[in-house]
Amino acid sequence: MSEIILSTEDLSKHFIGKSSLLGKIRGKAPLSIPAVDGVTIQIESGSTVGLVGESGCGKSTLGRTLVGLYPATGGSLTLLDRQMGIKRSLQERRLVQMIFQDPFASLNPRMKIRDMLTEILLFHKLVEKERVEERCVELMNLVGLPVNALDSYPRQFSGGQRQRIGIARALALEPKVLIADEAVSALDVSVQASIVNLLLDLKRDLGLTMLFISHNIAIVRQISDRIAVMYLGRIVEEGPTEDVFNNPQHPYTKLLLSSVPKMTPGSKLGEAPTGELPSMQAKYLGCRFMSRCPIAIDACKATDPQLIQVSSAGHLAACINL
Amino acid sequence: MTHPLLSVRDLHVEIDTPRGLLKAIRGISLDLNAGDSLGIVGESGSGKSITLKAILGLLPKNARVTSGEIFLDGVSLNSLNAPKRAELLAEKIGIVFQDAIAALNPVMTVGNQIAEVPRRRLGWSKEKSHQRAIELMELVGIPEAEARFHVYPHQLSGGLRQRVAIAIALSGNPQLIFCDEPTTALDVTIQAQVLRLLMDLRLKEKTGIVFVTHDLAVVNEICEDINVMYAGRFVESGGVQECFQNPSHPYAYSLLKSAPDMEHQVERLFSILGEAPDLTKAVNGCPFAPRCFAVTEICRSSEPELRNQGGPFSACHHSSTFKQSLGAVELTADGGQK
Amino acid sequence: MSTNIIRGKSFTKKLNFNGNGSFYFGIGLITFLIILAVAAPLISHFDPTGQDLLNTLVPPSRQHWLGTDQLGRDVFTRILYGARIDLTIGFAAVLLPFIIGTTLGLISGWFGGWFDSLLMRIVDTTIAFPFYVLAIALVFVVGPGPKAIILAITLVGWVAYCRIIRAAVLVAKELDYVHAAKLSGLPTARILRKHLLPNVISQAIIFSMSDIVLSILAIVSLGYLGLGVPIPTAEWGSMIQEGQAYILQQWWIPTIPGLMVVVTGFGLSLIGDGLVKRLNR
Repeated sequence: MSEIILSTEDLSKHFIGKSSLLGKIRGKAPLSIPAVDGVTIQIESGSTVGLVGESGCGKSTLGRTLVGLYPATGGSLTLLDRQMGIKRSLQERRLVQMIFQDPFASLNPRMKIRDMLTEILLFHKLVEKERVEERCVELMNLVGLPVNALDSYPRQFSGGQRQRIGIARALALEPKVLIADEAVSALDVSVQASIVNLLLDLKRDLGLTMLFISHNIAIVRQISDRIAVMYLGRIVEEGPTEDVFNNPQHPYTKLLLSSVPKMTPGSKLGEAPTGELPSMQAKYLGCRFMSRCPIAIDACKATDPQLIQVSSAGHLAACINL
Repeated sequence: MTHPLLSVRDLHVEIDTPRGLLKAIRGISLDLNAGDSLGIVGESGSGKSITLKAILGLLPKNARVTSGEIFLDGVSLNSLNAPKRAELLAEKIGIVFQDAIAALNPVMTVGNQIAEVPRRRLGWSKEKSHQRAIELMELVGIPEAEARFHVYPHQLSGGLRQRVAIAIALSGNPQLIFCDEPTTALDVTIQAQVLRLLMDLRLKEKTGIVFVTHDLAVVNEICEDINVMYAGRFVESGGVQECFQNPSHPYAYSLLKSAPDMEHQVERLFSILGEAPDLTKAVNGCPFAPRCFAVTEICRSSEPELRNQGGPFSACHHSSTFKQSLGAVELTADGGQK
Repeated sequence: MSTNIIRGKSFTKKLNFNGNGSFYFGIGLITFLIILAVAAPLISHFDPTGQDLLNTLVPPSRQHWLGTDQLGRDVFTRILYGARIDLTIGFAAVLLPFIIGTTLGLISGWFGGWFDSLLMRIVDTTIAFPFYVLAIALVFVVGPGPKAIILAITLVGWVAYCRIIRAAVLVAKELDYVHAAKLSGLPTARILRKHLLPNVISQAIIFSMSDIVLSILAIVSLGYLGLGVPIPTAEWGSMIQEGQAYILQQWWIPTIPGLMVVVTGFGLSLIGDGLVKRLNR
C-alpha cells in the first residue's frame, strides 16, 4: 500500500449566515449550513478517488475546502504529513490545484495564455527566466494543444480546448494533488471523452493524485480507482470502484446507482425511487438518509452511523443495518 | 385514411448571427404517431432544440423557417394563419422545457397555472378546471395535491417544479409532448422519477413523446425510436435497440462509443477527432467527413442522404462497411484523437 | 425576392461600419471638436475677449461667421475657445473621480468587512447631498474658477465609480479564474491589478462617457448661474446666460453654444454605446 498523500479527520465546513441586528440583540445564533459535516477520508498517492453525490450534498464544498479556497470550520486536514492551518504557505498552496467546471468562467478573459502561464511560473520560480518559453511549449504539448495557442485569448477556444488550458495552468504549478470539480460536466459527450482520456494519461505519466468530483456516475466509473459517495455533508460509502459498483452496501448508494440511466440496449429503468433531498439546515441525531431509506428501523433515529468496514477490504459504509 | 399525427417534410431553418447566416437545420423529415416515443440526440449546436422550436413556431426573432412543410393531424401548418396555427399547436402539443423555474410564472400559484388552459382555452367552469388541475397534479405524482394547489413555484423543489411543468403540458390533453432536455438540470434520483413518470404517461394516456437530449442513456431508457442529429440533419434513424446494437453511421457509432457506461469500465473512452462544422459556411460533402475514421474520396464531394440501407436508416456512403476501417483506428489508442 | 433582402442587409451593414458605425461616428465627432478647440488660434484670428463696440450684435457674415455679441466679440471665436475650457474641465473633472472611485470600489468589494460598511455609508451620505448646494458652497470657499468646479464634481462623482466597480468586483471575485489565481498563490495586489481590474473596469469606462456629458452640463449650468469660470473668459454656459436677452432678435448668440453642448453630449453618448458593444462582447 502506497503512502497517504492527503487525508482529513472529521473535516467540516459550516457556512455561517449573517445574523441580523435584531437577531444579535435577541441573542439568536446566526443561520449555519453544515455543507461538509465530519468527513474522514484518505487519498493514496497516485490514485484517483471519485466523489459522487447529488447537488447540495457538499461534494464541491469539500473539494474547495481541500484546496484551501474555503477555510475549514472543524476537523483537520493533512497534506504530505503536514497539518494545514488556516493560512497555507506558498509551497503548500502550489501542491494542491483545481480544475474547474465552467470552462468559460475559469480563465481570465483579458489575459493571453502565455501571460497566464508565465505569471505563475515566474512567481513560484519554477523555471529560470530563459526556460519559461520552453516550459510553456512543454505544457501545451502535455495537454494536447498547438503551440500557437499560447498567443491567443481564452475566447478564441472551444469549451474542450479551454478545459485543456485550465489543466495546463494547474499543471504549471507542478502539483501533487489535482482536484477536478465537475471538470467535464459542461462539455459535449465526444469532448468529454477526450478530456477524460487526457486526465488518465496525465495521471499515468506524471503520477498525479486526483480527486474527481462529479455528479456523472458513469464518468466517475471510468476514471476512478476508488469511489466515495456523499450524502448531506457526509461520506456514506467508500471503497474500490469495482466493489462499490458491483456490490453497493449503503441503501443510498444502491438508490443512486439504480437511478442512473444505462447504455445496455433494452434496459429499463429500475423502480422509481421516492423522496427528495431533505434540508441541509436540519439537525440530525441519527442517520441522515433515514427519511428516504427503504430499510430504516427505529434505531436509525437515534444512532449516527459511522463508516465501518463491510464485505471486502477497504470497502466502508455508514449504515447500522449492515 | 390514416395520416401521421405529426409529419415534418424537408424542414430548413436559418439563423442570422453576427458571423453570418447559419444553416441550423438543413432538411429534416420525420413522422410521428400517437403513442410513439422518439429521442432526438445530438451535441450542442447540432440543431436539436431548434427543430422543436421550429415545429412549435417558437423560433427566436433572428431565425426563420426557409422551406419545408409541417403537417399536424393531417393539416398543413403553412395553410393556416398565425392565430389558427398557434391554436392547433396548443391543442395537439404540450411542451416541457429544461428550466422549469423559467417556464413557470413566479407570481401565480401552481394550481392556477395548471388550471389556466382548461379554464381559458377549453372554457371549463372554475370548479371543473380546479378539479382537473388536482387530478393532473396527482397524475404526475405531486404529493398532497390539494394543499399544493395554492403554493407558488419557488416554494417547490426542482423535481416538483418539473412535475408541475409536465402537468401544465398535459393540461390541454395534448396528443404529443415535446421535452427539451427536461431532466438535464435535475439530480439523478429525481431524473429517474421524472423519466419514470413520462414512461407511465405514455403507457397510460397514449401520449406521444419527443425527447430532445444529449444523453444517450436517457434515450435508451425511455424511447423506442431514435434520431441522431449532426450539423442540422438526421444522420441515423431507427429503433433504439437496433441503433444501439448496430449503429449504421460512423457518427452515431462514435457517439455511442464515447458515452461512458456506468455498467462497464473501459481502458479508454473513444473520442471524436476535431469539432463540428461551422454551419455559417457551405457544407461540401458529408459534414462528418473531417472527423470520420472511415472517410473516403466520395465523402468529401457528395453529401449522403438519409436512406434505408438495411438496418437503421443512415446518411452514410459506407453504412454497411465503415466498421471495417475501425481495426486500424482503435490501435492508435485514442480513438484517432490528436 | 431573397436577393433583395440580402442586398438591403449588406447596404445597412456598410452604413454601420460592421455593426458599430455609430461608435466611429461619435469618435469622429469628438475628435473634430477637440481639433477645433486645440487649433482655435489658427482657425480664427479674433481675440475671444476682444471687444469691438462699433460692431455689436452683427448678424452672421463672411467676416463674423456666427456674428458678434452685445460687446462686439466674435461668437465663432468664443465658441472655439469655450470648447477649450469646457472640454478640458469636462475630461479633467471625470479623471479624478474615476481613479478614486475605481480604487476604493476595488478595495471595498474585495475585502468587504468594516471598511466596506464604512465606505458604503459615506457613499449613501454623498448621494443624499445636493450637488449644486455643494458646488455653490465650494465656489464661495475656493473662489470661482475651474478648480472649484473640478473639486465639487470630484467630491460627488467618485461615488458612482465606486459603486459600479464594487458591484462588478463582488460578482467577479466569485468567478473561477479569480479562484484559480488565488490557488496559484499570487499576492492579492497582483490579483486585484491583473485579474480583477481589467475585467471590471469596462463598466466604469462606459459610464465615464455619459459622466463627461454630465460634468460638461454641470460646468455650463454653473456658468449660466454665474458661478463658473469668471467672465469675460469664453465659456459656453456664460455665453448662453449673457446671450439669452437677445434670443428673439439675435437667436444665434445663445443658441449656438447650447447646440455645441448638445453635439458634445451626442458624440460622447455614441462612444459610450459603442463601448458597451465592444467591451461587453
